[in-house]
Amino acid sequence: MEHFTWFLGRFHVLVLHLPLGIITLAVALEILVRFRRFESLEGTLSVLWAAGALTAIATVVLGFMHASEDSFRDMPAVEAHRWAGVALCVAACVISVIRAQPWAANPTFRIAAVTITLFLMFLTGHLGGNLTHGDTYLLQYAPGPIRVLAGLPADAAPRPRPKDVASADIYLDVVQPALEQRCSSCHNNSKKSGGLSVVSYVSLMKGSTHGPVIKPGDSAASELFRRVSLAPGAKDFMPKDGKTPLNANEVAAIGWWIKKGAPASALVGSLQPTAEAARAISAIIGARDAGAEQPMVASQPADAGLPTVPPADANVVAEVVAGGFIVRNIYQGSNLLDVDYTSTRPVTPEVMAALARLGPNILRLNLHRAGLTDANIKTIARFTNLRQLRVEQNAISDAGAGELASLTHLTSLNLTQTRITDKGLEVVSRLPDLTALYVWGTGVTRAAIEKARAANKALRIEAGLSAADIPPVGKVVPPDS
Amino acid sequence: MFRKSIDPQVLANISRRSILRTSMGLGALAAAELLAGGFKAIAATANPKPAMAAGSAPDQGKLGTGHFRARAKRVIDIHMKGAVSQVDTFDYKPELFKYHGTELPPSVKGTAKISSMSNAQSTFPVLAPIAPFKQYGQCGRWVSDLFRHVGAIADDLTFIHSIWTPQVNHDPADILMHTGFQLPGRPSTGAWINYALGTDNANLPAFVVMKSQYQSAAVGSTPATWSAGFLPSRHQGVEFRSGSTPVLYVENPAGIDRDERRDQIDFIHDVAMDQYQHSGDPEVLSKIAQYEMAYRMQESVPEVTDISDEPEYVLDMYGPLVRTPGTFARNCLLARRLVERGVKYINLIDVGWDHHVAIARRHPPNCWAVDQPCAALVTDLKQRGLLEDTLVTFKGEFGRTVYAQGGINPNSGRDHHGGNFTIWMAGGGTKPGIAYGRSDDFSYNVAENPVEVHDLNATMLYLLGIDHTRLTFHYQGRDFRLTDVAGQVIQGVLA
Repeated sequence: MEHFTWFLGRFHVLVLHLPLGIITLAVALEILVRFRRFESLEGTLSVLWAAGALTAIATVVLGFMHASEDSFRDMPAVEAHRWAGVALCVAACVISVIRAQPWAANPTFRIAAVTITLFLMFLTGHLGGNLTHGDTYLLQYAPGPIRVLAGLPADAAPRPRPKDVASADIYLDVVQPALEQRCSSCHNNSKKSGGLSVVSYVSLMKGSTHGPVIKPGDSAASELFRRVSLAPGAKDFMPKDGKTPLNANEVAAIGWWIKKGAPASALVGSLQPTAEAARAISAIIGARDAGAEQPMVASQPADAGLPTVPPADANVVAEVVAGGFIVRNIYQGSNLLDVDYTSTRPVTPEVMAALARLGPNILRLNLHRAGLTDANIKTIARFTNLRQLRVEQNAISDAGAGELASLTHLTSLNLTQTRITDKGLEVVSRLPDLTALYVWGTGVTRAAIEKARAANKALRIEAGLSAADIPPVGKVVPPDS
Repeated sequence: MFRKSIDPQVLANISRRSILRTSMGLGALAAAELLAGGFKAIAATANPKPAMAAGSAPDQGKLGTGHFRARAKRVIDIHMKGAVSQVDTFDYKPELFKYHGTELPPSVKGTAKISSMSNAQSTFPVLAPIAPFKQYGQCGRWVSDLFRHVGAIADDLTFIHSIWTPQVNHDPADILMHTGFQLPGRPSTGAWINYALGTDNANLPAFVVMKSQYQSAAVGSTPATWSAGFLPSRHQGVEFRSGSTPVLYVENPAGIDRDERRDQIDFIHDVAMDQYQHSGDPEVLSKIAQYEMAYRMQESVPEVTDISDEPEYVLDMYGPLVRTPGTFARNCLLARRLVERGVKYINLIDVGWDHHVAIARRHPPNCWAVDQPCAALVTDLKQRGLLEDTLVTFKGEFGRTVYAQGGINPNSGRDHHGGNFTIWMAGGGTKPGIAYGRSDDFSYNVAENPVEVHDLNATMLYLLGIDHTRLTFHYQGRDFRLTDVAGQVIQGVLA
């Protein structure tokens, strides 16, 4: 029975719009009928007031049912809304009954009745709105002077978006906005479901009626983290009632913030973020800017140690694309680039100059068969964030290969079908991070490869096959022929 | 016209003026903003020509880039239609030689559904592998003499011995493997990848299909496995054929030269775009894109299929058949040439493996025709530095039974078997030199780490940087994906 009451109670938020509209219309007509043009509408007023009173009664009844839900128990804000609503209902009923009396035609009485009704309606509506949306909802985007009038800090402008992950404040830029967006409609200073309010750091750390919800340094023991990281649909999962939950990035960021001691304010950069935390935070602050769906982090491979760079200039990217390149971010939300040259014509100096302006962003570069010369390699040698470089099938000599010594983060280098010899091999095989080097179809000798392999055990050098390695085809016959 | 499913690419391709001209006017602008993720995006890319038109940037696909960092940039999907016998090739079970002719134990055979071609048999005698096995490489992988070249590169390969399929017949199993559903009509893996990531070479199709054409076979390929399904039709695989015209219908008829053709296409383009401004039908764009692609392929395809610049010893690597156009060997060589040029997805289909009868006589020539070319392809990609970001997969739609179909005699065959079979992968971020999963001692059931077809596709997308649960297309009222409602990335095969 209790549940059925609650079921009906939820219609309160639907039905309440009826008295709201009808009484507003009645009030408007009460004023209009003062003018001769609208005198004829006088007769409709009694019907309107009666309808307003009846729907107000229905709303109050449903409201009492709604307020009987556990989550509204012992909340001062609910009580205020309840009695304001009852007063409004009574006022509407009284007006409806007595306005037909001759003495009630007195204009002063009418004005007083209308004013009181209007006031009660706004009060009730406002208190109810605060219950549903939280008490910061109405004035969140209000201009400064209005906020000052309401006793709020004038500075309602959102914090400037952090430039990058390192300069973001973990609480103010990441955790607080997430809680504000997803939790504060029930956990605010007036609604305080379970006694918890998340609207300020102080109230958040104070916790709920059952004690603190954040245990700094231990996310597993923090009730808040436990509740938001459960499977949606689990009994204790927050938010309840199918409201939009925090996304995986936000949950990850909150977990990491708690692990780092749940500070009231700290730059992410100063907390030595793990790769996962950095990715989650990057996705959160990046997506807020773009207004886009946030990429998930759950199944990303570990990319620890990738450089952080500002986004590439879109105009330069367009120029490079027009020059025959395909430019992609290495994954959604990353500022690092994956660049392929796809034109069949040799790359022009102008396009190379444009490419150079993307240099710091390029993580992977494919310039195979691009008509490169040693001079072009000089440009590429300044792209020090490069991890994978393909320059096969170009007229590159040892001098060009020598330039590549500056690419100390390179892990894979493809020099097949270039003009390098043992001298070039010696230089590139000493690159500290290199794990794969391809020199098939060059002037490099087997002896030099053996030597380089012995000198750098971590490096895999692919020399490929030569004519001597392949048996002449004539000897191979099908098994049943 | 504006449904939520409309491709934002299409919206982006509708010029602002064309929207205003329609009866919906400004209301549609608001709708377009909501649907395409902001008017800014439309204004920035508004372009009366389709994305694939000459001179514009190449199509980067719906996603543009992966959800996470890709390990593979492209895929070569080798499919042996008709089904390779895992028992005779890659799934080494030494006991089977001993049990030859004895009845498959009922405890092994179980009650699982078997093909109607052998379920009427009164006995199910074990047929020993038709070739001896040897150990190869540092990993010590056992591979039969039928695949000695593939055996020789075992250290570069990742075997999966525990994949299985619920389908018992060729086309349903093949279509399930390539589209995630056993009936025709869904987009194939190559089409999904093309749709998601676009192209790395605007002059060649991003999805190419090549079928071996040197043998006739009762069980052939089915176009459903390279279909675009409900995706825009330009994502469909383009079939390359042997002979003087690798791609049908792209050459100019006699008396029409390239300039004339260009004028013609330009004119058709203008007329079609006029149509598109009114209808907004994305298939108009697909059509124009295909005209343009065909025009560019008139130059790019002859260049890629002309192998006269390949050194003799490279041809020799691929074996004697590489010199015959249309063979699997030639297609392997062409696949390498396409991969070098940035083609994202290549499907090599070999047919005629369905040996219900006389497997001992008929399997070896098939193996011989594909063994050396497969190994050469992997080796060639490796020496060119392409294997590290090219995923090669070798598979059939299912395996074959350990028991003899038609009894033990010189004409013994093997029936379809979905309970377990073996596939291998190379490159593209897979872990080389390992074998994942295990079948039982009779190679009849999965014993360890079962792998579903959806898991394989989820893993392939993962290696390409795509979360398989988030690559979707809204069609007939719901979001569809390649892995349907299943699929888990096989962590054990990742490098």
